[in-house]
Amino acid sequence: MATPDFETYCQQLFDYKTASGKPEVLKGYRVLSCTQYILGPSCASYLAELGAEVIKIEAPRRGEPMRHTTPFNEPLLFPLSRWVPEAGTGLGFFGANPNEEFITLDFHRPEAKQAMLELAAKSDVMVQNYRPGTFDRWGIGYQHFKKVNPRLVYQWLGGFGGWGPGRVRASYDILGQAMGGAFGITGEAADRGGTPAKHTIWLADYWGGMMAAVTILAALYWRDNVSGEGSFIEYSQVHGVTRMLEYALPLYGRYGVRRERWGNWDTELTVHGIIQCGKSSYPGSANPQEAEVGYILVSAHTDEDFRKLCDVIGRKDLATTYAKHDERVKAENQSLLYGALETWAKDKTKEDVATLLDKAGINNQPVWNAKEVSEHPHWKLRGAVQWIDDPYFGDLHHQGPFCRMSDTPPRLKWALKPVGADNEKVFGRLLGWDKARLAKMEEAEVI
Amino acid sequence: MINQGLVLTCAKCATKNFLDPYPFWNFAGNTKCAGCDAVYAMKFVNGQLVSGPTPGSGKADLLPGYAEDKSGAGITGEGKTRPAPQSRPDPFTGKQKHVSKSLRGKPMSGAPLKKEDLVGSKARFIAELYKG
Repeated sequence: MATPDFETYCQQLFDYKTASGKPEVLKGYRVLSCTQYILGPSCASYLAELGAEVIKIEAPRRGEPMRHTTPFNEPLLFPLSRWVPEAGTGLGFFGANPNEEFITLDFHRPEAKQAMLELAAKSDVMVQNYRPGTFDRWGIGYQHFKKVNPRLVYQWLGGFGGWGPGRVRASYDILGQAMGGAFGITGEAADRGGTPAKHTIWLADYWGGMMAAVTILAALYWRDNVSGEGSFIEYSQVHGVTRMLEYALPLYGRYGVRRERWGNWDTELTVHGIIQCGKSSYPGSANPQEAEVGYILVSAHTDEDFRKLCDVIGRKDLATTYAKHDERVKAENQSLLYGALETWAKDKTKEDVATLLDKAGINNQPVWNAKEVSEHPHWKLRGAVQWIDDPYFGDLHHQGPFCRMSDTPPRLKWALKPVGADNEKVFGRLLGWDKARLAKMEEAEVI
Repeated sequence: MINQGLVLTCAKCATKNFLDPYPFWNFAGNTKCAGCDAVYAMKFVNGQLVSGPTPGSGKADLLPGYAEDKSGAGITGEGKTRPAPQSRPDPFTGKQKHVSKSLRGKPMSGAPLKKEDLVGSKARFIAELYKG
């Protein structure tokens, strides 16, 4: 039988619509997730996408704070919980909580502590991202859980680590990026305003969650193949940001040079940056968001590509003057070259520019908005964005799983659930609570 | 200088009162401490505290969304904190907007419900969709 070409082979292997018929790589591992906002929840959700049974534990009635953090009122998903059906969960909760089961426990109550110890005894992993020492104070830290389950892998994610003089402050993604050094090298150059730029995506949170998930898998490998024992893992959000600074720290150590912000251009490659196109892609649109001009990434840093680019924009003189990359990459020359590109693009949309550059064989990519990402056939075909029939909230538009695996693919089963939706299922199945016990705990607001 | 001010720490009892950003986004009036009922006058414009908190008297116009005492224990309940956020106004139009269909016109649970609208933790009309 002939070997299929690579594209056909990949499409057959990775078609997300066939995922539900295949096994899940982490099936059989149980994870407790006492997490809030993005950093901790994203860590647990990556494991859930890979098939682990993730039980998210939230405060009774109200749930974790991210449910109440939403960009708009309109898209709230109702009910927040069966107890509060008139309220909803905000869209900020999306993306970091799929495929999980949702139960409630008030950790301040002794009954809840006992339940947590019993759950920990039957679990493989615990993830939490409260302030340092909080869970130890409540009697549900690693030192407590280890006594009931020495095989437990306990992942704590915090801002600054569990020890050291700076540990007790609260951290958020934006603080982590500021302290970790990311904003120092992200934003406009000094001669274009010099302002640091905050990324709209919670990069330090999602990156941190991913790194913590990787570490958990490493600890499970060690437990299951070497030691037989669990372990305690600490992830510092700030240190995680610093880990991403690539050559900024070695550069400083070697020369004392502080890497600076350089906006949408590149300090090492020219042309390799984003330019403004003067026309909107949606002329006449009543939507002010669509009236704005477009932007496009242009990458033509080799001598050959740069010559082609100069031909396209009708500036062959630049190809002669700046024939050598060492000349192009100088700061003052970058300003001149990107200025020339924007002058050329002033009467064009980003699509016009892309068409011309494609024709010349120059690498480019219009800067897309959410609408353009959502509607592109490439992402739809690959399942990178999906419409899902969510069993709790109906028709939802959602990101697909973060990776593809041929034999054990991750998958999206549901986006989220209301607070405490799985109380009966989880407490009944794992702790043996009957209807009367559940009712008593609910009345006492333990769950 | 910009004042954020969305956590009101009571000068009398040190309770932290969390003033959720949406209800308090454009607000001028009284709120009160969930711990000791001390009344404070405050004014927010576009989410920024522009005056207060000033100790005052009278009734609270809007309660905190959540509160914690100085030991970190949560304070909730009728007369102390406002119920969980619901039907909050869109910050741009000032009007409450809810949806029952997605962008592509299929049913979704995007509007406030009543207890009788539920099956377990699901909206009845969503549960009906997936029946069988």
